[in-house]
Amino acid sequence: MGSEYSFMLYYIIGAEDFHKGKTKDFSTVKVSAPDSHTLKVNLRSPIPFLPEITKHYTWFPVPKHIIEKHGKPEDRFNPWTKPQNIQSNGAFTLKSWKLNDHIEIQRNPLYWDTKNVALNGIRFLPISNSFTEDRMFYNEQLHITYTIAPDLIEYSRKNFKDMTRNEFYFGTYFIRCNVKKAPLQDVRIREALSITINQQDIIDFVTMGNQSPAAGIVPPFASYNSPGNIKFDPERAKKLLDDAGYPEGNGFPKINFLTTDRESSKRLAEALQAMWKKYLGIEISIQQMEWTSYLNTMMSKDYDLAAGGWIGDYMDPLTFLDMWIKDGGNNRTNWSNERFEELLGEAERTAGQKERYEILGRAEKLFLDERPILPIYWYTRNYLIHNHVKGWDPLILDNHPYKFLDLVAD
Amino acid sequence: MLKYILQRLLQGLLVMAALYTIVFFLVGWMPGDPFSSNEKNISPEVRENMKKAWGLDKPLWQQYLIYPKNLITEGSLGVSTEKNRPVWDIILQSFPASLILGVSALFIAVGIGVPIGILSATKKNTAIDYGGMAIAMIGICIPSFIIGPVLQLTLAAKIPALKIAGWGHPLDIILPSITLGLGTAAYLARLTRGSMLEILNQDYIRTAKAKGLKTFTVVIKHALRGGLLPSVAFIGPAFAALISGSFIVETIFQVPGMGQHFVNAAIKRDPFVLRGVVLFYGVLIVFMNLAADLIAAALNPRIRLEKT
Repeated sequence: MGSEYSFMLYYIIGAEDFHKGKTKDFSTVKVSAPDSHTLKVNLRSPIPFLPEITKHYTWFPVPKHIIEKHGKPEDRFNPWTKPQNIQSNGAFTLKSWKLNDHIEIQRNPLYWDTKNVALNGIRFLPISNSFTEDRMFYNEQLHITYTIAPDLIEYSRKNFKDMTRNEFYFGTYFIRCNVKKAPLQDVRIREALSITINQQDIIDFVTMGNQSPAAGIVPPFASYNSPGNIKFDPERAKKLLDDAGYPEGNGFPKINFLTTDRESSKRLAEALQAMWKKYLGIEISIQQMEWTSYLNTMMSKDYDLAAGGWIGDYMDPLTFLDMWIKDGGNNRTNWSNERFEELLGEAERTAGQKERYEILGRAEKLFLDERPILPIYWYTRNYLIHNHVKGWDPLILDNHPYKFLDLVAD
Repeated sequence: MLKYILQRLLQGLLVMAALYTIVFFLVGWMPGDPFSSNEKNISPEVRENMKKAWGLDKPLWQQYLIYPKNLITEGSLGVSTEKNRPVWDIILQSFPASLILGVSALFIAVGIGVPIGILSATKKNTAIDYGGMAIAMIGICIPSFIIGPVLQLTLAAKIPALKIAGWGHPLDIILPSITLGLGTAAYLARLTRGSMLEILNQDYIRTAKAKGLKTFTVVIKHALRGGLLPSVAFIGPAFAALISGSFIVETIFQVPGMGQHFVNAAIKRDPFVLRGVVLFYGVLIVFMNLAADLIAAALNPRIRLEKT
């Protein structure tokens, strides 16, 4: 079976080998359910963030008997998720699902805590056009939007002040450097490029979403002390470029900046192009590609610089760090470092959260010193929410428990 | 007549075979595969498993033959790699919305375009003519991604019965079908005007006028039949285009039609949805063209003679 999130279960003894086909014997996977209310998992190392991991949907229970009633679990299309077949144990159950139209859920009368569930149901609309989404909200057709189009953020703040939210989100926007390509194999060049990005200007004039300038790769959260201190410093950048043999940018080869075909990507790329020209005197050319081509070009490492981003899957620095291991599928920079991987291994064997964070902090510092990526900003979520919606709290992973939501007219 | 229809249907089959071949290889040549369109990379083992599950691990020529075979023997268009649903499911869920939207857009196009064209032709070189053609020109020039939001901001935001977007109430059809139909209306207006002008200069029209018939009777009874021929020929394929969905109008007004599936499948490299939707469109266009020809033949005795 293929699934992109299977690695979320690799922490269980035997899971990775079974998934990768090294064994066909499922009894080698150390997971069991001694009774209907207990799940027993044997982990391959102490994982202090296990409770965080189990919040991810790969860990949600599914009804084996229902899946098997409608086909095999590994069937390409097992219709057990159709509204008339599905059985679930949450506060809400699936009522109807029409592709590109809506998903509707209704209160589950059999839920253990159903008396504390306020809403009768929720309707989710898959709106791909954020302008349409925002206009629908302005016209009272929606209670909550997923996002606000950057061009409408200012308007929303002005006209829907108490309904416009701006919250921290667990993600980082950055630029990958292909560290095998000259002149980017030189860490001085990468650092020079990095510290001539005026992050605040990009936030104020390009993305306009009140994001935070990214000092490192791991966004600040809980008790993790980020070692990142990347700051705008054109003077130092000039010196670095000079040291690397390109005084005032003279003789610097023209490099490519790969990004997607979205209008917002283009705006950002042009801003960076102008900044590097202004502070370093170097030229870059922008290469826009349609999404899948862009990903493939990046994966085949056929680029110099490439725009990228990462959203954390669970609340732990590791979700931003373990992707940079040698030949990791999401690394795509050609960068690797043995010491970095030793530190990650050391962290995996460490049970105390504080010590673990300290080790991961050292790994991040090492990573940032080598600068295979140029951090730009930490994400925020901008969205609209109607005054009548109660029980919706800011959550860094944006995984809101709907059972606590309520609608109360003022 | 029957022979003609059969002949055209056979031609249609050839067209479909060519269409399938082109789509199959174009999709095959696009960079990337259905399992590489996600930001998060999947391991090679997982990718191989996924390819196997969808039969994409087989040599291209085998895949090329398997698809039509499954279509003929099982009636299957495959299962979407992106949505993990049968392609027929996706088409049947989205086509009704596209059909309703397309038919209403066509009504708007014909209802606006043809009268403007006739009026402009009969009032040639007057303010009415210039006004009508100016509107038609604007209709052709302004793209739907401008018209749509303008209608949302002007009409939907002011009239409580109209929603900004959505597809659940009969009134929800109005704005998207105007947006979709205006461009076609504009073309129709220009086409109708041109052919009407030509007809109005013919001898038999002069004869009709000489007999003392009213302009209205001359236009409706004598000129219109010939004057509408080019428009009818245009309406066939235009109708197919309208009901096959418009990505832009669908995304602006949140219409759950087929256009979005088409574009998303191309971006996500979903070979089965792409092939299925293209073949479905293809059949539609073949039939619409045939229908347009039959109607044209009914309107024009000369065509009837030549073809039967």
